[in-house]
Amino acid sequence: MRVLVTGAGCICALGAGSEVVRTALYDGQVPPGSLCRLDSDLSSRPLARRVPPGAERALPDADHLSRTSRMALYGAREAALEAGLLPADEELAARIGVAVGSTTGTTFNNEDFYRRYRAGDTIEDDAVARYLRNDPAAVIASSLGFGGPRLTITTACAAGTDAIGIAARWIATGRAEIALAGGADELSRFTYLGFASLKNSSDEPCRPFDRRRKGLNLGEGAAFLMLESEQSATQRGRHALAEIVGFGSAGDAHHITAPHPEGRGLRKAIEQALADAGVGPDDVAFVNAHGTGTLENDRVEGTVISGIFGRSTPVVATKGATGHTLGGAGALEALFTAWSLRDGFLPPTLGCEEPDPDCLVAPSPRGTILDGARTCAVSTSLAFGGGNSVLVLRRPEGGGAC
Amino acid sequence: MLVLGLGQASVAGTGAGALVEHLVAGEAPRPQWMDVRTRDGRGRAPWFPADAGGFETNPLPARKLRRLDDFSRMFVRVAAEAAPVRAAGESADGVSVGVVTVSHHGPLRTTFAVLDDMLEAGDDMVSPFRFSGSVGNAPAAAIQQVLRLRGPLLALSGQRGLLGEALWIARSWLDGGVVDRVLIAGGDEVHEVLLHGLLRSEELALDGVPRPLAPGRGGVVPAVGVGALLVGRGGAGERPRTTVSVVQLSSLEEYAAGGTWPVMLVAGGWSAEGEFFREAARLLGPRAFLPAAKLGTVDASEALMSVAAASCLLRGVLPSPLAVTGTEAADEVDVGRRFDCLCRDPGGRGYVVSFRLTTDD
Repeated sequence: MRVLVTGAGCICALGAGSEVVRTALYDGQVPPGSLCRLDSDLSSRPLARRVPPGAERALPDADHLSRTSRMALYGAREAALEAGLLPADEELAARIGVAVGSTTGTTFNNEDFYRRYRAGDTIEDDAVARYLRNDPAAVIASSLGFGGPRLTITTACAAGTDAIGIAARWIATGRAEIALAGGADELSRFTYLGFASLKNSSDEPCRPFDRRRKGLNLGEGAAFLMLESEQSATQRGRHALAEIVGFGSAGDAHHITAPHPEGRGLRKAIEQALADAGVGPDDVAFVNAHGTGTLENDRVEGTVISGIFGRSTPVVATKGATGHTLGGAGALEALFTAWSLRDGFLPPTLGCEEPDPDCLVAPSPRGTILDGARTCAVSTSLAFGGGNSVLVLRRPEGGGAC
Repeated sequence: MLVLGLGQASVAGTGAGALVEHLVAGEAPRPQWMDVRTRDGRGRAPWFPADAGGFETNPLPARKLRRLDDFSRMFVRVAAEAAPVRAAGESADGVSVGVVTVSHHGPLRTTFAVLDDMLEAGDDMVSPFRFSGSVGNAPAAAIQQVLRLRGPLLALSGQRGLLGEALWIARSWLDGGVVDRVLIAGGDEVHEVLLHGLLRSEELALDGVPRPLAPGRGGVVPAVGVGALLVGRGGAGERPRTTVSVVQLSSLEEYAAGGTWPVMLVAGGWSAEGEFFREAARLLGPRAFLPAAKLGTVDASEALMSVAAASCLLRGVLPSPLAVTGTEAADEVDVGRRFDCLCRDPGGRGYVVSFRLTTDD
């Protein structure tokens, strides 16, 4: 059964809402106020990317929800609205699935509460309860009335990709007709200091695949795709943004933070995803790479990508615009991939002015027009712990009408 | 799907055999007590640690286990019990095994250890080792690395319904030819802040006695534990075999009226689900068993309870009356061919993880 994307929503360092984010992405413009450094005593404070101040007011006004859940809800609502499912018919909504990838969003990282707890100061009644009820999938399902299968996935940097892949499988196998899938994560001192301790983050804007790269910039954001069977989309008269045609996943089984030096897990995941899609490397118009701007990730990923697709297949990496949004990354990048396929335009890879020859790929710092003959694209995600997850998307035929 | 291996660690000890012995024996375990903050001062909260002493004989490389935190190490050891890769002498390179882990809180103690680093030692002193180990997929990654499994890796977060999802994912991987086997491992650990939260919400059993069917609040004694199942299709091996399937329930009444097999209720004493499980216990009568009465409540407990069901089925035994729902007439319960685990998904619907013995290929 074909799996179509009939709605999308997002919020990130580029702004709030698909139109705003896409415009900023294509223009290569970083909104004022999105670059930041979190308060810390670090001798060198890494750069991070937050939802710009002007977009903050778009977040739902819900103090009882975590920031991750609020961003997730924003993205989910926009996707549901675009898909004509907000509100949804009650009987239909009861069958809609929700799959969310998140890392920080599922971690108890309430530093302020814990400081007061340890110090014996007065602590609020329900800090723990608030953490327990902030499962982002549960928040979305409850808010939108979606009662189908539900999952929260915590495979770190590949969680958003995994959520989309699994939800697509629900639809392809007939377990659900419609499913909302994506990811979200907030900026937090917990992850900010954690990545700093690993020496993985940079105090400058990150430079994916650039020879001068020094590390990643943490980001925050959420993106959601409404996935729908072709039959359901046709019945409801919805247009498709893209089609999810393949998903692959494989582990490196190598190291808790570093990728396998030869990228064996990524290679396997890409091959699986292409086989799942029934396409070959020659059908792929471009690759949206994980491209964190760290030395090892980019070298390994670039080597694997060029080995499979050749050096002439364009590669784009968008974390120079959004930062690394952890659980949100795979979902944001899947959405960007869908846009690029539809629009025939590859956004600039911000930060990559001097491609590192060791990476064997050369993303462009300028936007490029795509060769329209190829109708598929690949989006890759490499996770903490050695997980590798890959999606294959296809441009819908006939302009996307179902 | 076939069940090819089982493993567990809990207050019962380590290994499926220890779990069965614990459930069959008459005694209830005694909890340990942790000093925690209360609303107004300090108090004591009961909990059950996992007795992992039996793992000392497990032939896993100490060097690889050394850098893991207790939580991930427990997952790895339980996974190694369930996955016969090493026992069969097979090369890990030739075996395609996917890994799915389930946990509500993940590496909770390591998460708070990172927060301790931040508060005690300063921003510059966060341990990269601890931070890496705090990520939700750390146990899954550790299983892959130590057991050298290179299939797909998934980590699911939540309290309820996830064993059903994990089994669905496993079946889809197996049906799609992605892997030959899938290792599913689920569990949780305990931290004083969690106990503090349970005290504040009044879910904690203050006398340390688990009451899985308690009306209202106050039935939970949190426990540390992990259960693991290795599932796959076909292949040579002993008969009878154990199959596992997931069945969504449309009606508790219909389910209860349908047979004589025993049923483990995945009831942990949580107030939000008490009504559901009390009704199930009423309908099932002497067929219903409450492992949490003897194991405490592991937050994501479905995997551990399923290992209990499958293990009892394989040995043809029933848990002791202490684990029964207050009735004693267990003679008419047929433990021969089937043992189910009654679970509840996040939407409040019941579903069953059903283990059956079969001699079929």
